[in-house]
Amino acid sequence: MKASTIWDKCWLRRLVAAAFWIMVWQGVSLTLPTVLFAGPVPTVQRLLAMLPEKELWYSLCCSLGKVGIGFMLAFLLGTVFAIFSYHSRLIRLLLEPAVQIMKSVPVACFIVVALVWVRSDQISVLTAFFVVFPIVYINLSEGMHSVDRKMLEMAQVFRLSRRKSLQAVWLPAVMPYLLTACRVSVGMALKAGVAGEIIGLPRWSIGEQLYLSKLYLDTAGLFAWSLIIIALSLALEKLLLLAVARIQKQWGVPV
Amino acid sequence: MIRLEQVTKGYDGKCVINRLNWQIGKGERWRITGASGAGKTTLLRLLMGVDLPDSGYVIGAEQLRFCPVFQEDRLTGHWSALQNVALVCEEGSRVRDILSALLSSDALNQPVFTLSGGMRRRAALARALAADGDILILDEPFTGLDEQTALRAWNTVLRYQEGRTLILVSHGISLPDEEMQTMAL
Repeated sequence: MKASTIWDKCWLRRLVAAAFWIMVWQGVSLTLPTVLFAGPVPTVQRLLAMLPEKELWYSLCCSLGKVGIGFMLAFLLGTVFAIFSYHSRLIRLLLEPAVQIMKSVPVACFIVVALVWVRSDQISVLTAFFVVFPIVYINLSEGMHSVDRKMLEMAQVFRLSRRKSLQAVWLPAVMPYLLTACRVSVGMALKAGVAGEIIGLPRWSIGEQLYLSKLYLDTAGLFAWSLIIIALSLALEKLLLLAVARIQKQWGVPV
Repeated sequence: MIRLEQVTKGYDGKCVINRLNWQIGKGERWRITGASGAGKTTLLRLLMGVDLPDSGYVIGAEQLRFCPVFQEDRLTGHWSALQNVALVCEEGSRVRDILSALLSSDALNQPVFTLSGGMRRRAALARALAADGDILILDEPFTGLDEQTALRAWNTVLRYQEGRTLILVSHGISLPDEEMQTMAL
């Protein structure tokens, strides 16, 4: 196989890029004390040591469950409100400032305010919702407004059923926007949810574990948890895209 | 069957159709003629109820089902010709007959965005012919087709008209006058 053909492989390029950054990480860690900046080896060792601990799995399940609830609620309501606002100018007008506020207010500010209203163990649900809702709402609204008017006319003249109109006209236009919303919002939901937990410190949460690592100057633990969050974010994004692809296939929309 | 009474329609202050009277009977064949911009497509849109007249009446069209070839193909690009046709009717031997009369077999299952302009046009024509309805509305259905292919397509139209009213707008291709009435704009 030619060198250029091997290089063309996507995974190989990613591996090389990852290796480069691991080397940079290792290089920086050699210049600093481990308590301030743990290198890749102590981080992986700490991660392996954490794996059998029940705290890790409890925290993961609780955090993921809450972020998942917030994410799904935001996706559901974002979709419903996008549909309403497409049909009603009044609803669009009313929602505009709310969405603008959700987009602009820093997540940390929102978390501090939200902690006045809700218990700390609910904060990640609310934070994930707060971050995901505007992404879904805006993307779906744009997708719906991008639907070709001429195709809508075609559906009207041929008197297509709702299901057929959805398949042939709406989904092909909206799906790219929905995919973008999925890609962007999964990682954002996890990041915002964990940020909420770090401030609210609910029991059994990733945020609490990160905070404790910081408190005990366990930098390797802190980095290990960060690695877990990155891996989770990537895995969730892939899972969600797989689910969307499955829906697309089922509905006859291109993947 | 459909009656237009004193129908007037304009865009941006320009009158396109002025006080038009027209009566179309069941099963009739009509050809609409006129220069570019004379209002042929506008007239078809008024018939289908996609546009409303500024004044006058279109009577009897609302309960009819139209089978149109629009000025543009208006096909779902990533679907095959077969899927596009199956969208408007039950897939069966009739649909396959219509499609195979208009398109080669290897073009039937390809996504329509990969087909040539002429093939997409014929897929749109196949969809109109296969659809269940009362009136065939064909707005430039032979665009992108050479004379011979257009004639073959026209014969397919006549074969599958099946008692439906036919209204045709076609430029540039000379078709045999199959007892067609003319509406000149």
